[in-house]
Amino acid sequence: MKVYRLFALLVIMCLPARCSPAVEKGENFVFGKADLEFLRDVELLDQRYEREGMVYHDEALNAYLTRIGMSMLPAGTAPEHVKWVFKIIRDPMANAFALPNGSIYVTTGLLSLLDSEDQLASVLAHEITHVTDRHSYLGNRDYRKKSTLISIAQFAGRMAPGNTDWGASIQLAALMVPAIMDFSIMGYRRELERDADMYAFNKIIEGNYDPREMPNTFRLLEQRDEAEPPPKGAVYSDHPKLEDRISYINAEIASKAPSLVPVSLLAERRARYQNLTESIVREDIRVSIMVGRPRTALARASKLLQFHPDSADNLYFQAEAYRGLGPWTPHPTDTEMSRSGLRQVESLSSKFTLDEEEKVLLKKPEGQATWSENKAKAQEGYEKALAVNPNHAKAYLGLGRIYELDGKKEEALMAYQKYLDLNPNGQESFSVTQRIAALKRSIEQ
Amino acid sequence: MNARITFAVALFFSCVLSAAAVEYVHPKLKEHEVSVKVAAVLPAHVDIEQHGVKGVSGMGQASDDAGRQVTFEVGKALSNRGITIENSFPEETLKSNEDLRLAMADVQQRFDQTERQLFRKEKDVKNGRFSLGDSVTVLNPTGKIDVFIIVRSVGAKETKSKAFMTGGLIGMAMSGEAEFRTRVAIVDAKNGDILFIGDFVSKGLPSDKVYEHSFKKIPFQ
Repeated sequence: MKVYRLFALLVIMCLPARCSPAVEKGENFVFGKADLEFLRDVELLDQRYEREGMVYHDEALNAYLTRIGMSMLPAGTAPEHVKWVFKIIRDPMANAFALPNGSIYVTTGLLSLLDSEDQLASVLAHEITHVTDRHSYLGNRDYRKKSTLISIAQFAGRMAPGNTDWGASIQLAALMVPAIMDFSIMGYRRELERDADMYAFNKIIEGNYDPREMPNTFRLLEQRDEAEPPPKGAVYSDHPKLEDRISYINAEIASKAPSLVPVSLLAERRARYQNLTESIVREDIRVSIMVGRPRTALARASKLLQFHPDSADNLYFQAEAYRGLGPWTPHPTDTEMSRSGLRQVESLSSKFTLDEEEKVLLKKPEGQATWSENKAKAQEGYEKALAVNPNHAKAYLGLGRIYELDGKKEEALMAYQKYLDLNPNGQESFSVTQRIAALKRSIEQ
Repeated sequence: MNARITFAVALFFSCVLSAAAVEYVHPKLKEHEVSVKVAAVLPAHVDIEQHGVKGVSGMGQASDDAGRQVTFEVGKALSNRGITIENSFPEETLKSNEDLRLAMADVQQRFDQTERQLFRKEKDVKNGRFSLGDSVTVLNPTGKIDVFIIVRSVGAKETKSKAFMTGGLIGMAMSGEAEFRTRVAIVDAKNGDILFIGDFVSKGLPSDKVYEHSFKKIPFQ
């Protein structure tokens, strides 16, 4: 019996190696029926992102993204079935991804997190490699092959009689195959990610960008603005660990010793990046608050203000972030970031809505104290924004909300009315009119 | 004869009524605090997957087509209940009007944000627990819409070979149409409160009759 089980174990240990595809370079890639079906689905996904309002359009920023992206492309014509398009997707999570048809998406969250053009170039070069080397197709083929093996193993497990030694061994193997295959699929994808990092490293040197900005990008990705568990570890992830990525890129820098980019050029590119991404960072702050990531919003707003401290819009968005924080502290506390704290945060967020969590926190003295501080900072921010631009309608709206929360009905009424005067056809006009009516009723009573 | 009638009745119930699973109505709607005369159906999000021997793959075109069909069927069901359907978000308008498209995406995202808790304990709709907040009014600038209808549906279809491998000949015979889990939420267009949730499991996309049947619990006027 033991011999059978040992044999079954050996077979399943060898499966991932047997079904790992031979490395196929991008230029030698031949499209099969399944690849073309995959491509068709991907093109529909592209259209869906657009149709569902997930794609953000900013002419100047799109042109900038395209210019940097194009400079990172390999020489020659685009590979078959690839049309290079660089797009921004409205998502506060810092991420970038490539679709195999050449659409490269960078999230508003990533653009807000990055500091410079050099960092953006390294991200785009990485994503470009996924397209040119056909990583999505290879990943899909690998997944299909391994899924077929899983299906066959499970079928064999179901058919095998459990009352015989060999049947029990097959059933045991069938139980283990899916997990082993999943690890193997992830492992294969991690290899592809590493390839993409290596291409990006060489390409940014060619493009006269600073390769030292690549590990800096990974360090930024390690930042945790919210109390949430870090991404899954390397064992069950499709990306190498960030510290591993930093270490192998640093090793490349040490071995190749690329020439330094002049500091003035770096600073110029950094300023250009910050200038062009200012509006997208504001959009990211708005979306972050909306989806319950106010700490991220505050971190981005503070960065914006460092770059452009006298902007009424930037002051307004920082105030919005403080208001969005409610009773939460501006940074996660040590207790929240501890293992048990993170577990608790996760459990609470699955059970309660943000409004409910906020109510619970507001019942505690420390929650009330934090909310008072955040509210004061928000009010100060709106007032500063109005000092810079007295016609900043949204700052009046923010002030009105703060006054209303404080029970200052007359002041709230005036602030809302001012908003309506300045922006009679704004998107929030209807809700503000409703609030004014409710406040008037309440004052009359 | 009796056996035939029993069979026909059983078939009718399995085809039409078995699709409806649960519905919960907010007290404001039950007690006529909110009157619903005009509704706008937001484009439904439908995702269909195919489960085959070679793994799971998306069915992009089928999902897009199903999304349009579901949006239409829900609207039809509400029309049949005497509700005026405001066609505020036709695909062409959304395509050309970026502000509207982004506002729509925001409201849909707000719903997805609440989805985790809502779908975990749908019956709490009866206690008026869930709201998307008054930010939904960005889609209702004139205030003439009473409710928004938000639909999410996920479908899974097994290929014949996968069905055979998992369920033998019986499994293969029963495969074919995708199985759907569809959730319809009615959201107050003036303050974002979730007034109703309907949750259906069905073989094939639910028809307008299924939606209409589930809306029967709602005293609209």
